[in-house]
Amino acid sequence: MRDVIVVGAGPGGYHAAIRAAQLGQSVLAVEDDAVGGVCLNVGCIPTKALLHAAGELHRAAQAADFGLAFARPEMDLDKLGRWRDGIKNKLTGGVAGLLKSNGVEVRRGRAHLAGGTAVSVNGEALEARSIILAAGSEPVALPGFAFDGDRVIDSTDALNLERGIPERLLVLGGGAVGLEFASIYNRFGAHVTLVEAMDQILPGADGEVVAALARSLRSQGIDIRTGTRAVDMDRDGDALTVRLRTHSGVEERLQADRVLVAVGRRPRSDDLGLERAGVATDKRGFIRVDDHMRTGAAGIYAVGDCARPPLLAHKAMKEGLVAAANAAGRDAVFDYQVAGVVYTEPEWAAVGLTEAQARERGINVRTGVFPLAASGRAMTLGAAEGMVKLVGDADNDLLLGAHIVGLGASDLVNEAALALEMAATLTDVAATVHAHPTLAEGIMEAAEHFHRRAIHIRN
Amino acid sequence: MPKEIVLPEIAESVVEGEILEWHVAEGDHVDKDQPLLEVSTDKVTVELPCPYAGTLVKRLVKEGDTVPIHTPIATLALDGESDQAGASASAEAGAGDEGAASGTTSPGPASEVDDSGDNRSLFRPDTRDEPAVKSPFKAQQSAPQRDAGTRGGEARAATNRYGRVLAVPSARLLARELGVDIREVPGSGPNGRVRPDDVRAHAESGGGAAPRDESFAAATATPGLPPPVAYETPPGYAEQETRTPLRGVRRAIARQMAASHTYAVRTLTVDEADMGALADLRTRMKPKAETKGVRLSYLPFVFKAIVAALREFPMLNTSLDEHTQEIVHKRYYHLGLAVATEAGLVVPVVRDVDRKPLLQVAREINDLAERARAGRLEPAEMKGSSFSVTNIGSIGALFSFPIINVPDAAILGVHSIQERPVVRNGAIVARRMMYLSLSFDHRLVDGAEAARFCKYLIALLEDPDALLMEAI
Repeated sequence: MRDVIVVGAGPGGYHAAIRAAQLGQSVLAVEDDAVGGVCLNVGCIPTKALLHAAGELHRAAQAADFGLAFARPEMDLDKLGRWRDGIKNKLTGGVAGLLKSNGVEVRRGRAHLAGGTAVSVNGEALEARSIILAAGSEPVALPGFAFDGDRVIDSTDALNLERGIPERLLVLGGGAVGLEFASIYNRFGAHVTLVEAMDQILPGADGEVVAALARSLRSQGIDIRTGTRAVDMDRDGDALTVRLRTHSGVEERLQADRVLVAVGRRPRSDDLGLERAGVATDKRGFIRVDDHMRTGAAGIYAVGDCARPPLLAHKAMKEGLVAAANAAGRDAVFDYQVAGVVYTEPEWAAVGLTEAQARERGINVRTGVFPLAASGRAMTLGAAEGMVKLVGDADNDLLLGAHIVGLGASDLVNEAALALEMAATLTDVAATVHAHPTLAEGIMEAAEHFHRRAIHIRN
Repeated sequence: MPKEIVLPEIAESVVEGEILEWHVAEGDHVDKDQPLLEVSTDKVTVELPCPYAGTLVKRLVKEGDTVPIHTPIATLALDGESDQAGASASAEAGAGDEGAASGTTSPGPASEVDDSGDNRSLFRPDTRDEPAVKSPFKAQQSAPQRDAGTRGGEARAATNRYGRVLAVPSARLLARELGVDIREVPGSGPNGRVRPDDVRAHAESGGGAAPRDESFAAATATPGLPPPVAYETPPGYAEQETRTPLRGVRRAIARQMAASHTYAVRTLTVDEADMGALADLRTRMKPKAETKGVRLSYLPFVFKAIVAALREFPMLNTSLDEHTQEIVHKRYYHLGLAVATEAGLVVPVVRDVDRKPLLQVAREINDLAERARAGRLEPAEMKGSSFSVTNIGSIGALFSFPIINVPDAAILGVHSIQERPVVRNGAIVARRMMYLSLSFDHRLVDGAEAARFCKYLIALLEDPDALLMEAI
């Protein structure tokens, strides 16, 4: 009997498998597709490759501002696709190699719980002391907008730029996926309209910072409609005609050549045989777990997208480590701050409490804001838009959250995450010497502004 | 613009002071050099004169706060601009409150920030926004004065409020390893942030109360030694206890004693001296000294005898510098004198005893003791002893085991002179005897050496002629 069987070899699964092996467990990982999961194959990594290409396209045009006029780049979308796939293959190959070198056995196939801590894979019954479920998630469909893989597509289809850039793309959903693809297609020349039912894109994120992001994206030509729903769609003719309705009831018919439905993802929990093992899910299908990543069933853990939001690879990875440690007899809990990142340009990233959340908790909230327009480094990068906003407790100077829009936000946010984990005060952040000129100085300056003593802006 | 007053460097190597009492109320006028407030440092209490004339706009520290030097303690509207500045300061403070309450972050005019002048601390609280924003250092400083019983609860409340434990990740991991509930661990960092050492201390104290006074705990914590001891109120007796913060002189004493106890190998040797001859000499000299205005006790003689003995046995006049692992041999003779005062024990120092006439030594001893009892010693007067004396005589114990005034190598306890039966030439006679108890650091001084030091000292005390030969 093995010690651990990991179901799914995406970010959560391969982290769990490798860590369990490092802790001396015999580990089997079962994957019915490619190792690396959504993240490496059809998520984080390929989208970032495309976003980089899109960004280069944008910067080539922008370079005229500082006297470098390029001819319009020739786009070879096939080559772009091969480059994208090359990265993906290198990384998935790397993960396969890591699993192997750590002594993790990998089997292709679909695993179903068979009661207790047994699973069946391709009809074969396998037993282990612990099971770690890391089955991931998949795009959710919108009623009336059934995916056809051609004109109504999901994020996986949308990666396929080789089939051509549509003239008009309608993106349904203003979350990370919708925004990133809106950015990619906009940069590659599509006229993009993005519809979000809630009152702001990135619902739940800090309003002030999201407003800055929305401003920036609009200025790049993305038509963002918040507080608007896609009601139905007429497929007749060459174009798709989508009926949009605002909260106030105003309707509009919008024509598009392609519709990307990015209204969310659902946990892949229905086909795991959860009932047989006594593993419970919530209404939305997420497997119920505690902070040890334990399900209600003895010896069965769940991590990543199939367990609970936020659906983020880095959260899944840490959860995988926690589950592995517990499966190996250690005592670990997931009690970490998880940053959210959207790789638009400018990027958005945040960690910790928003200003609104902090207020709801009855905290004497104070914020420090630093616009990147005042950052020397941002100017030299031709990206002086965006801001850093830090939320803190005015009574004790404790840092509560960081919200960033701007170039490099995805990297900057990690400093804030570390500060939160270390229970840093705003003074700690402000007093830390930040190299000059860097974008990260914006975090220091925002912390200074929290105390109303920023140097480069009026306080 | 109001001028900021910072806590000055009161004396060399004094790093913090405890605010004892404000002498000037907010809104009151204060003259230059008028006492502004009373500050207690390690061992002395000083009145700080106001460096400028003006109106006290705001006190930035409370009575009972312990603050590092250079910390802003007050804002002062200088004369000539007092009215306008005072008014604008309070208006600004009000605006700050409002801003914080409504959550607006609209940037104010940059010109309002006065960074001129002697704002030496970067961490000075933003006075315009008081009390909306407090310096984290302030929270830290006020920690010791918090009701000790609520600290744990407070940390836990903070956890709930922020939705996260204020503990660094390594401390959280350690807590799980040790089976400690991280929420129960009182943190020693700002805002009660828990560090791995806090978790260890908590685990070792049986998961109960951990050290509450962070600074004391930090000062006394030694790797390999058990953590400082906590006191748990027996159930039902909380009403019959009063907890007072360990502060000021008492804290300084506690630290010094703990350091002495922890870092010296204290060893005792006891002997006795026949003080008859010296008593007679003193009786003869007393009236003469009085004509010079000096009350002559035995101590100046003892001091002189000690110097002579130290010359003979120089190891008792050394110190061990543990930082450099060097023995410091001193060719000067600064004798500390332990003085019991109402506030506690202090040890003023008579410098260069070897180079001063007996009468001057007597005068200085009297002066230092008097000012010590009045709490009016300068910090510098309590530093740099090379050997110390504690006079237990007045209280009358038979003999005591003094604690070394580290980094001295030894301390001599002198006791009351009493007629005791002793045997002289085969007959029991009454003599005026005095016990001498020498505590010495056995790392520096060997037992035989200490005993010989005592013998030498006793020979001088018993034979004032010999003492005069050595002392003059």
